[in-house]
Amino acid sequence: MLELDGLAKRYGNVTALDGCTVRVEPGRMLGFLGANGSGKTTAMRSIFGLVHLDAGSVRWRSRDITAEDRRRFGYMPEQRGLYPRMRVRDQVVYFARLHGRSSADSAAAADRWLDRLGLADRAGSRLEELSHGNQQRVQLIVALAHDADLLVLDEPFSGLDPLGVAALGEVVREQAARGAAVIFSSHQLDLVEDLCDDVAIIHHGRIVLDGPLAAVRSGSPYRYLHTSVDTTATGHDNWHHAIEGAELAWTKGPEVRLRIPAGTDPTALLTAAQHAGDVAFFRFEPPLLSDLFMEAVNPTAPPAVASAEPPR
Amino acid sequence: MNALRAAALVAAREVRERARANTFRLSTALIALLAIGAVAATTFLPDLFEDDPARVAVADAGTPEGLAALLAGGSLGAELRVTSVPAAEDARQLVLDGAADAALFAGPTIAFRNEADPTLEAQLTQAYRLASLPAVLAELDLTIEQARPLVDPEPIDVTLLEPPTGEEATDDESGVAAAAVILLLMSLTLYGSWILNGVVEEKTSRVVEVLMGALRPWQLLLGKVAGILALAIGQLAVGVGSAVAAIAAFGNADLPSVGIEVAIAAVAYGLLGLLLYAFVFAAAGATVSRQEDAQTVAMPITFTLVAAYAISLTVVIEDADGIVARVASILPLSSPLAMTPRLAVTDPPLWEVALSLALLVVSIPLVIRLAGRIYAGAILQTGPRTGLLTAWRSARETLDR
Repeated sequence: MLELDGLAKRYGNVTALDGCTVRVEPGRMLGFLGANGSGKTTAMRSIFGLVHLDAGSVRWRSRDITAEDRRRFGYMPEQRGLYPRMRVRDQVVYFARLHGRSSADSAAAADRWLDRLGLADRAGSRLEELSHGNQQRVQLIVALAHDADLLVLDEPFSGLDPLGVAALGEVVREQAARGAAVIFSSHQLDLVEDLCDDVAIIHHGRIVLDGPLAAVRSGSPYRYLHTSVDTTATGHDNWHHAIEGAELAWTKGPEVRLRIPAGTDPTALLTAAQHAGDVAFFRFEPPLLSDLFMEAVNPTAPPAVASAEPPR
Repeated sequence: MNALRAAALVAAREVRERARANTFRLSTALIALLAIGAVAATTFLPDLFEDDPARVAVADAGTPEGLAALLAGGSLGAELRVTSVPAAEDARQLVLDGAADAALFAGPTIAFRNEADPTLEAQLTQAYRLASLPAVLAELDLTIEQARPLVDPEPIDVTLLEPPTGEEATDDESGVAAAAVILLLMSLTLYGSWILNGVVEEKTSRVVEVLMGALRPWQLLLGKVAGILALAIGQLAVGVGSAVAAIAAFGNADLPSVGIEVAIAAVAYGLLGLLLYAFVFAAAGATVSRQEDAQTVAMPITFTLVAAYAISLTVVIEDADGIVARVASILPLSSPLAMTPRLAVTDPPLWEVALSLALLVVSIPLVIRLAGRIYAGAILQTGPRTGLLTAWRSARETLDR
């Protein structure tokens, strides 16, 4: 298990980390969420000793991390970094060897992974000749070709097309299934929702919400009602104003999305909706990750502001 | 994994990737060409510039016996190529045909074609008189012994009223010294710039963050320097090998006599100097993140090298035993450039050479520690420029990773 415990780091007047505490379990994927500048990257860099912490500790298997441990980690930094003029396969082999694998193992892993991610025919190309998406695939391969015990992936899916996201997401999931501990950051909250087991939301350098995704969702004090009610016959356009504690997240034509206190009885809501007009669909659910994110990061703002423009 | 094995992997990558690059192949080819060219130049150029010996046709008829042999013997100073012909007419014809520069025949007459050569004239005149001497003496009824004071007078002393101080460098020595200084500066700046740009490239491409996941800064630094030193030694071997092959091929290379010890000094000082400067260049490179800044940050180092070069090329060669030459050839930052030319033109006291080498060898680990710390402190700094003090301070943080 990886433990980030009470991490603190200031850069001049800027507080990057302020008591950040996160745990990553083997065999599980942790989605690490936060707005720009919230401290995600600093926390992830600290795992590799790339940040000198003002306070707190980073432990792996209950011990301080050694250079030997780090060699068993895989890292995909936010600012991608590989040798632009080095050939793709050489690059993968080189990094696998630096991470302690034998020459033969490294070569086999390079071939297997390049083939797996559809780069076999680019093995002899220089990295700089590859498209952005393919360079990112190589970067991911470099992080995991040595069968890392811990994968730290900073925005691994940014800038990828949906096919790329699906391919890389599947690979990362497999790594967790194999037993690796995985922590990855992303702004694509729907994607995180699909992929991760656990979630941790960081805001101003401290964790404001964390836990298994299902538990975090059901533990929210809110539920969301997403429904479409055709009120042309009745004229009850503002039917939802009558619901106690409801706040409008957004509305578009007959559709509304409402944030409602968790204790509210959904059958009463359905009855109210049916009174107002024809109900095309009716969905009552725990908050989505994007809802949770906005609640955690911006708890005082009305949900309308929050969800009208979903965070990218 | 063994800590040194990681550094070895870095070095191996450095060698493999650079050896693949066109710039490396081109520079290696250039070195081979330069080496062969230098040997060719010393072999063939002297022949081109040396005057052929003058050709003289001597008619046997009516000239003293043994004249041709005396001329060919070379005892008269400059070497002559002598052709013996029976008659005066034959000798004249050879001059007219351009097969001889001058003819000497009975008369006695010295015949040139259209321009008299006073040196050759004096030489032939003296030879003719010497060869005539036995006959003249016989006519006067004198023995050789009696004539000795006339023929072989007491030698005259030649003295310099203002003899030059110390040992004057010959042209050969100065030439070798200058060539050594130029080659040393070229090597130090070329390989130094490889290190500098290699370090900056790793920061620019941010691959250093990924590398630091698997390596410690000193392993990366050591591997990089070792790899580039290996390439430098490889290119040196190519240069020496080409030169040796060229000497064997051309046969009679007229190599300057100062060669071998100067060559050894050049290699030793070149490698030690490169070791010293490589780490300085690496530390400088680590403090910048953009290739454009690399030259700026390397300026003080380049300036030091060029200053040492200028001093070596002028003061050291002109006045190899002067105080400037002595100091420059002993101080570690300049001795890699200054000691070799000094050895080429003079014989410095052994203790000075020993002290120079000792200081250089001792200063290398010190520079490695200093530069290594700055490198470690700066390599992970993300700003465009990292101050030396910042680098020094943050090294504490990176080193105890």
